[in-house]
Amino acid sequence: MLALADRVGGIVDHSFSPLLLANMAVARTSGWVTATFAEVANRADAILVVGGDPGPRFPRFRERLVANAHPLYRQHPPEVLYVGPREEVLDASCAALVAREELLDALGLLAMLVCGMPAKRPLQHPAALALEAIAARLAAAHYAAIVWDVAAFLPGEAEYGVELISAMLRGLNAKTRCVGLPLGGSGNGIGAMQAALWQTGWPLPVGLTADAPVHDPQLFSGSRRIAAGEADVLVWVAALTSDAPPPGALPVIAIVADDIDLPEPPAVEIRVGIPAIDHAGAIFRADTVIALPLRPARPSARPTVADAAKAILASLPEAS
Amino acid sequence: MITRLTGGRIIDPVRSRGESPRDLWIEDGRVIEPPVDGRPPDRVLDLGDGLVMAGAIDIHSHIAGGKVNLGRILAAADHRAHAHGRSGKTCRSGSGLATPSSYTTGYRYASMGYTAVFEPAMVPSNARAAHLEMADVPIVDKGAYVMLGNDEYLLRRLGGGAGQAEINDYVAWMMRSTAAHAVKVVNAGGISAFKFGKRGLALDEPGPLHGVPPRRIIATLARAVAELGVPHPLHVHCNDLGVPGNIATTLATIDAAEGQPIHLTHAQFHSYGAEGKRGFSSAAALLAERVNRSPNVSIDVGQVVFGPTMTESGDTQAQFRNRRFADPDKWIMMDIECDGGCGVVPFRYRDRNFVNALQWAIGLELFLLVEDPWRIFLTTDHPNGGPFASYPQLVRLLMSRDYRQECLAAIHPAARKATLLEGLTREYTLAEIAIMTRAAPARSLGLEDRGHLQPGAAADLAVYRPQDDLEAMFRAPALVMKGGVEVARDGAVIATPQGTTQVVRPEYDRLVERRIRGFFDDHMSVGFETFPLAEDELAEAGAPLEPRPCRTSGAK
Ligand SMILES: [Zn+2]
Repeated sequence: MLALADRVGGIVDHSFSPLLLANMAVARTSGWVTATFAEVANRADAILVVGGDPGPRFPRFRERLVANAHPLYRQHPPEVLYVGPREEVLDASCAALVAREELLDALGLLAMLVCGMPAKRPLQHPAALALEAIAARLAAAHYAAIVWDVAAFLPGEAEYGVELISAMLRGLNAKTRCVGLPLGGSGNGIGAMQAALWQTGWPLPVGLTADAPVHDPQLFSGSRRIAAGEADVLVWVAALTSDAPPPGALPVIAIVADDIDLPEPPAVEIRVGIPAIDHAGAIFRADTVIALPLRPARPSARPTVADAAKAILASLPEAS
Repeated sequence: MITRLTGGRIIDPVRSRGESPRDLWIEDGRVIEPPVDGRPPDRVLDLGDGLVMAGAIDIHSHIAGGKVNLGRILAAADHRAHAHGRSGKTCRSGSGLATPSSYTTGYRYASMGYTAVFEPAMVPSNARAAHLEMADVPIVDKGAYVMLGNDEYLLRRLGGGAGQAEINDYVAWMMRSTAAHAVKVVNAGGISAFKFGKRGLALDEPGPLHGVPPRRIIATLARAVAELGVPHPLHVHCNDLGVPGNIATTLATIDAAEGQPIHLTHAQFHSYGAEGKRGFSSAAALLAERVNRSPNVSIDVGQVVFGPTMTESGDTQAQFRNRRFADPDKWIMMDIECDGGCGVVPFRYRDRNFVNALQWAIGLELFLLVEDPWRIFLTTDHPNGGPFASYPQLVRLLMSRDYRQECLAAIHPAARKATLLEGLTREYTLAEIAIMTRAAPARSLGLEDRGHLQPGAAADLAVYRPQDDLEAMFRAPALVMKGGVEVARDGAVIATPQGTTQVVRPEYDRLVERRIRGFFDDHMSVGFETFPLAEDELAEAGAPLEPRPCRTSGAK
């Protein structure tokens, strides 16, 4: 799809990129310290969950990362710490429960405590005691992990929240070890982000202008462009997810899996197979390091999204 | 189709040290003997008086894998400043100089006469992703070295008393599973120790938990690589990178190989003394002296180039130490999957900074003091010492003493006094450049049909237009061919065929898989069946495997 967009001067975005962008923005401006799943599962002796219970969106979080049967490096299950809304009660040994609107305040105070910045005493925060206890445990842990899902933050607050987490990670690693583990990713949004980075040098959304690839989260936001009708045509690709194109005024070329219902007939409809059912592929895990192979489950003659993109490319007139 | 290249002066040191005016005949992507049956060529290309060399081979350049994407994330300015749109019929758009996008990487290498590039730091768990990315690097052939020596399985088996044979089987299994060409060890044991909170690990210091000292890791892996017959020796990034006085560790690392073949990478970063009032000095002469009398040792330099770049390394201990020099001030560290790590730190080398200036000089000292061009390779450890695009400037520095003196005059005065460079008169010959950038890496990597232009060789070649400006000459060869296809003319890419993935696949006793399977099932987040790359995955991704045989006369 990137090749096709490059050829016609298009914009590429992924429906999941708005959620990844807060993490990406902080990584780009400040950097951070992270780890992959197996590292956290085998090593973490304290896990701080920020923003809400990962359970509903990531059902295997507890089984895989907290309660795994054979950890390599720790004798006991990790201590679970929590800073988040009180509506989502998490089975944690130490919890700072706040209203969702107060999450950033609590994180800000925790970051100050963790980084050893002077704070006015006594602390004026209702969860002050719990936050102090959490800061102390993070500092005492051999290898702590901070886990978050950007979706848990209120709209517009995610980037600042992740920035506070990044500050804690940088501060804690001066003396001990602590790693971040951003959860999230569906429809292989992580893989799309990785491929865009290596093929263009930029994360999504990326505009493949005549002069250069350009990353601009506002200007090239796919959802904004669709809503505003700011494009000549929308090429909607859905093979891993079952999303139909959003309603809008743009003419649609739909490259979608067989099982997707299209409420409105698109201008052009191309049906493709589903990765891991009809054909092979690879899907990136949330930790960005590991690509898992998708192997076909049945013999299939259905084309892939790449086949469709190549066919369209081949049928375009020669560039001048 | 038969192509005849006439008029070129061929520099092919495998055959002779001089230039030989002879025609080159090419058929089906290979150099052939001139047809004796008098068949006329289908086309004739007149090379004028161009200098013809085999395609260049980069033995150590970080072109793909998760760390490069992290570098791209941190390098917005680099990607804004160096961007290009799509061009011609086949060239995709792209961006970046220090961390170029994948297509840009292939185009730029090819336009400079390079036809094969080796990614030296593939973390086992990142192998599939790294290969998918390398498949999007066009034109050049690629290969990757799998990073071992901080992987939990190896450390625990060494700690648990595994014998050499078991380790050999594991290394072979790992090479096949990750489609690797060679094996690299980075800061042996140190990346693992960093996860236990240790900020350094000395060569004879027992590592955490399993008590295995780095010396033993290096010795065992060097022996495994030799006994398996893997052509390229163990590729070693020594412990204590960047630390003043680390020459002691570097020399001791050569000892640790116990006479087995060993390659020391980016040796410049490991040739530091701790003398002088600043506590930082050149120890290049000490390393060069040792290399000169140790035929089992080869090095690549990791030359520093002044200007901004990105440093990307598996060595989290070193990168975490260096985070205080980050410019701009941001950095990313990552602990990876109980088998590795990476640290990415933006950096700017300044000629008016004493340490940076001396690093620059130390690299050049190594180039000029190591006598045998078959055992020293031209690298900047791209992008850690500087972008690979600076190779033409480096060639000029090696071939012209005048240019060297000119540059030397501009660096920090104390660094100028602290280097031997002033008195080093050696100038590389074209034949020596051809050895260092072609014939020698091909021989070291076991690429028998590369690095030379004898009949049977791949028709990978570059034709340079002789001129006084050596940098311009090496930056934009008049013609570059890959597999007999004209891919670049005068620095512009004109065709983008896909290269292959070079791999070495040693045999092993399948019994070892029982224990590995148990380890994966109990502890890893990826299943034993899922971990290995399947045979056809790379072909589907567009970079089919080109397997190279193991040496049968491996030391048994
Ligand atoms: Zn390197």
